[in-house]
Amino acid sequence: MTYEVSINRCHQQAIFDIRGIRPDLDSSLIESGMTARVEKGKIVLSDELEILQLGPRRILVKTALENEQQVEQDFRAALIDTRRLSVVNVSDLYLGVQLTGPDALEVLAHAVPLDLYEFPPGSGTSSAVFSLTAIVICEAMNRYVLLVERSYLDYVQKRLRVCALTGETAKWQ
Amino acid sequence: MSKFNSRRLPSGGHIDRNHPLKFLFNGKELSGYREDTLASALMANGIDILSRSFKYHRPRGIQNRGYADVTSMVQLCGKNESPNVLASIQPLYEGLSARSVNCWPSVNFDIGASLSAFSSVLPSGFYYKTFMWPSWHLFEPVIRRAAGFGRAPAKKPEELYLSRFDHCDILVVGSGPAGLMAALCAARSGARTILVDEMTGPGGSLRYTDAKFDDRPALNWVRQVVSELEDSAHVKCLWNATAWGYQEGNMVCVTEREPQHLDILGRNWKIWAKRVILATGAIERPIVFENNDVPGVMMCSAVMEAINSHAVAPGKKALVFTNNGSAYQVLPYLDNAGIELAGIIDTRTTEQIHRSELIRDRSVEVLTQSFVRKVVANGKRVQSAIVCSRDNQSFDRKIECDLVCVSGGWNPGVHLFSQSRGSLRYEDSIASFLPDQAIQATHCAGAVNGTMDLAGCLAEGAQVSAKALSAIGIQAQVPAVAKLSDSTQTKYHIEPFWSSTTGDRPQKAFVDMAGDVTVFDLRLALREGFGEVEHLKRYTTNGMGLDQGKTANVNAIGIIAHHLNCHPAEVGTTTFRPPYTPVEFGAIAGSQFGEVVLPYRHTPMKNWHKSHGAVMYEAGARWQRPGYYLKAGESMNDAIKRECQAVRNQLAIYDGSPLGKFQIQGTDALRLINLVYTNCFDGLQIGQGRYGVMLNEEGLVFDDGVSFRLDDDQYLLSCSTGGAPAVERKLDKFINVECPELDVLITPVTSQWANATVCGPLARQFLQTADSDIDWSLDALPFMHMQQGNLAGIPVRVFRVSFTGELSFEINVPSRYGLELWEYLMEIGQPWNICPIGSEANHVLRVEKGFLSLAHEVDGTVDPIDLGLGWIVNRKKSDFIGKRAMEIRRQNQPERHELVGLLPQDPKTLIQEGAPIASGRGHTQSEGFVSACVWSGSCDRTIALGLLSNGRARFGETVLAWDCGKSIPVVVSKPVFYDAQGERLRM
Repeated sequence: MTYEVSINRCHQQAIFDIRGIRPDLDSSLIESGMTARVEKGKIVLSDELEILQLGPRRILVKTALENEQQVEQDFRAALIDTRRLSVVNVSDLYLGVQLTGPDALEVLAHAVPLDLYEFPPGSGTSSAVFSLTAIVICEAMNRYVLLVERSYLDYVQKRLRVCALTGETAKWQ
Repeated sequence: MSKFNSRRLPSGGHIDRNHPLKFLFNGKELSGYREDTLASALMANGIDILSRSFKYHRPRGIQNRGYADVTSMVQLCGKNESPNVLASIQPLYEGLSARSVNCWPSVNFDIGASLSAFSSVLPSGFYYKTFMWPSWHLFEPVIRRAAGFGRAPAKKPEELYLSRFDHCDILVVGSGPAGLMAALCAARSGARTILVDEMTGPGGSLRYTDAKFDDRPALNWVRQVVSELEDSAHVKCLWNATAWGYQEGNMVCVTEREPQHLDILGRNWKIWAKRVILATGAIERPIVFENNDVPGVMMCSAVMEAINSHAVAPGKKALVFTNNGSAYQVLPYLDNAGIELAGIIDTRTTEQIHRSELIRDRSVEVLTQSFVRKVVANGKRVQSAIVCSRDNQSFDRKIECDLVCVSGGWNPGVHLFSQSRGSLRYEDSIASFLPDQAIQATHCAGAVNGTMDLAGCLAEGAQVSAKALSAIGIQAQVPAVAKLSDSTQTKYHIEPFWSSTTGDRPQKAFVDMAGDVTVFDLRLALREGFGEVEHLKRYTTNGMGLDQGKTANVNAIGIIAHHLNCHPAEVGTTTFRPPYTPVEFGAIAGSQFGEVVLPYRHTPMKNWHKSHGAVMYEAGARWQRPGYYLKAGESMNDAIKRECQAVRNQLAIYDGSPLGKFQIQGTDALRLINLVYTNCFDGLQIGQGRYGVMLNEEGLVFDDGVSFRLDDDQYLLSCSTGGAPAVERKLDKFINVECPELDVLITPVTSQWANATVCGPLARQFLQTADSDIDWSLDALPFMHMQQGNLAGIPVRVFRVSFTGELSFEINVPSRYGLELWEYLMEIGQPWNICPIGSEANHVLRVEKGFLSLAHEVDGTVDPIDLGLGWIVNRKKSDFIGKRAMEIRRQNQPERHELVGLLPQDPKTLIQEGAPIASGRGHTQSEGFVSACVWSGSCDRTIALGLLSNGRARFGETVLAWDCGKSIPVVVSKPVFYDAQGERLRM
């Protein structure tokens, strides 16, 4: 038997790592003139941005790679007067792998020590993934994305496929 | 009845007679049935001896149930070979192949058994006292070969192990009556529940007894409860799964063997539970008497299981030997199996024995206040028992029997509770240890808690579960407790009786069967002063092997107490540690094997490097970098020499992507940098960089690197490749714990940037031909400055930093462009003979320059002044990490190891890194070591760096480097061999 899950690389996205000095990062963002709406613990889909709250002082903003420069400029313009926020383009730091299917949670439980049942759709967090530091996102029921350091992507994808019992073990023994 | 299954009963048991199975044992084909264990199938086939014992090669068979049956060890053969498998827990399957362990040439005729004749000279700790001359190592291989159990398989298994995580509200360990009630209560209350049991099916003791609930077999109730649990979406049931470790954070490690519906060998679970309910039951313990290990001596519960679960008669004529009432339960089972009862030997007085229905109507002889002194065997199996009266020990009576059913009482399964750091207490009423104070969120229910009656276990399971649920804020829905129809249980009433022998002679009266530890061994240890129970355990290995104290510990403690004339509570118990049972390494490793045992980080140019002859090395922090690029016909040294020449004379390029990088931002960014580096970064202009050295709290060099100012409050801090993870942890700790008031944010960006470093005297001229808006001139881009712009249409950051000592441009691009940039530079560099170089050439070049390298010169013992970097320590700064520690040490320890250059007298001699240095004036005491030694093309000789005591005062002195027993004269020199003024890198 194999698990019913598909494991695929995500297209590269533009990702901005925003960290705040104050714990109320969301209000800092709003004060700074950013138009995106932030709900704690939720991804809020605006027209072009996905905002993922990783903690009280850290969010990730994701958007399509073609919007990278525009969004970076917007951030600069919006945050020009604030020193309370750090916006770092980390688009090349992370690459994503997506797990989709009824057994996505079961397969992910082989990689992630988090309590995935208490990890509602739209939430994300920094966590160990096969003992590597990564970001785990629950996009929807039965759909998860792992953002991992780019050079570990192949490794994480391979191990997930082994855990899903897709029969690929022999290839990398 | 076929010639096989000669001991199989014609009816009964829970085996599936419609599904016969063939299997091999020691190469012989045998048969059994589905739902048999390997042990029950072997017993049914009349096989008594399964293996030979660890030390004396005694014949061993089935004695106990489940994981307590440490004498039933075999080696599983075939594609998933595994050593030391207990036959009592190994489910039988078609084609299973197993063989005996620790015997040669066969289990029935084992040459090693002759060791028994020398047992008087092989007591515990014999190897500490004997075999010392001429050397223990002379004897060790022979002794190791003679001892031990199964052999580790030479090949890896064909099937897979996995490991996974889970979380729940309630974890119930054990699915006996108490465990099932606890799980049912949790499940009906809506709690996320996980139930684990080490056996292949649920029920615990109910699987082998005839108990009835509400006038129906108890197993019907078990099936009904399990069905309800398995149908609940929020409940997971893991069968054939042993909870073997209880860690901090209420995390329990469970190994599930051959999980249902998955084609894998096993799976390790790490389960975090808000509450853990231990319903681990109790293990029947033996009584120690001479030859208590021979096949045919079995625990009463094991006999009941053989008859009732597997329809096997383990003997023809049985003698029951007990010190408690539970043993009497075996009598009707013996009757049902047609086994003649030779008698009952009870150590208690007649008044202590509860005369239940079980013996009232029998004509069986009950010898009270008596004990079995020894059993007599024919080499393979029990033939008779010698019984003795406690009143008149000189009176011996021989009773013919081929089965001795023993019950020495019950040991509550407190292992996991003890592992959770909960304390234990000795309870006289059950003559064993019980859970006392829990440290973690742990509850105990049933026999593990000392509740020895069935009705009590059922009620307690529900009560404890309700309590656990209440503790986590869940309203308990307590299920009705099933009514016991007709209790066939006898009163437990135990009178401690540990051993029939005093141990004053080297008799074979075994306390720990897994380790062949006898009463004589315990006595010997006591005589030799190992009176403390933890010392005695280690000296004798009692309870340390497969047994893990399941059957051996309490008996040993009782025997020690008897000999010390004290109460067992005063002796105390040892600490139980994981694993509770043997766990395969494969199960712990899970899917982490093959090429992914440790994953490597790769730069975007990895494939280019490999396709151009690069030999890849790990460069620290799991990064792989080219070590050198081999061309046809070249040796490694040729390649390194060629690459060094290219840097010194022409044009080279290397992949510097793995260098650690952190973006630091905030109004206190400068303050942070000034705190973590010894020098001052005030006055650094935007676009300018400065070298810095980082110390640890002890004032010793921790890492070094260059930091550039990117913007008003924004810096890019770089560090060594290997040191990046530690630097990240240090910075994180610093801003979150030590100085949380700092307004500063740190983002690690190492993998965000790929780096191609162009170096060599022609580097500037070459880059000026590139398609770029960067001004490469010295005025626009001097040493330790940076520019941002475009190169071949790619956004780049260019830094003027040099690790080679030559003119150097570090070109950084977002990683997605790394390969594109590299290929572009290689293409336009072709007319320039641009040469890709690896880390080996880099190493040679940095040694020529006397530049530091982590783990070479920076070995965790030196401060900046030792390394000749006194100029970088700004003593006027009010503080930096390590300042005070360094200053205090400097006051008290004037003579220290200092960085020096070393020139071997023979200019062609290479010295191994790490070679110690001695003064050579008749002194051989180490005064330092060689940290690096290379062949330098620029110097046309070997050169070395080293740390030498008071080194800077010894320039010109000849010392000796000791390399594998050879002394090599070397002259101490300044540690810079090339371009001492640094003019070339500033060009």
